[in-house]
Amino acid sequence: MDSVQTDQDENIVKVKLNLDFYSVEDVLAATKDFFDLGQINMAVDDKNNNVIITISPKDKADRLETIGYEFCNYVLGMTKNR
Amino acid sequence: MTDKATMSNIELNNDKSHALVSVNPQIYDKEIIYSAAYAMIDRAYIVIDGDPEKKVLVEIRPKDSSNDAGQLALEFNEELINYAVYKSQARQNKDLRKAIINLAFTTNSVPDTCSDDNDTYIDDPEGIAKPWTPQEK
Repeated sequence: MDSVQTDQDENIVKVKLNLDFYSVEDVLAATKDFFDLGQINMAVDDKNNNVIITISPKDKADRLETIGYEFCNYVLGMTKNR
Repeated sequence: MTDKATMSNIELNNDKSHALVSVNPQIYDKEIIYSAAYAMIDRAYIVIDGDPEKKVLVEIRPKDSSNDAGQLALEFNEELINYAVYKSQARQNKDLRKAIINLAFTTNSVPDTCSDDNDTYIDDPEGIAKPWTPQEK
């Protein structure tokens, strides 16, 4: 499934979420809440119906994969409680 | 009789770091899948993917090594059934719940105290309406 991909050298984690299950509004809201963590970029891949979130944490010591999966859980929480 | 292996909807990856659960959306709708997944987010990372019409894939990745991915996947299956039954029961009891709430609202009307001619609300038979703080001199 490879929803979370990390690049340790670039200090980047990419999260891919399926728009059939996660709405753009929820992903945007989650992105806003993760602003404190570092730089976040969001792109919609219309062709594959995905949204790709790129997170570049300020702190290099952070576990990138954990951040990516925590983001997934956070969006799921927002989707469930909508 | 169906073989046990072919019945299983759980796929464990080689290093057993995560499990992939296939869910039939004809049986469990999106709301049920969200609820079941949400019930597990304290112990696992969950990602939902796949085709919402044909096959939904739920990736379950334990947060710490004390939890087993396969075990969590089995628990996820149980949660799916749990929420499916809950939803089904809620649907069946919908009219009854509505009737009970309507009854509660119609029978618990607040008495109209403003039209009371006795004005008893200013009576103070116990003498407790006096201020308790010491008066300033």
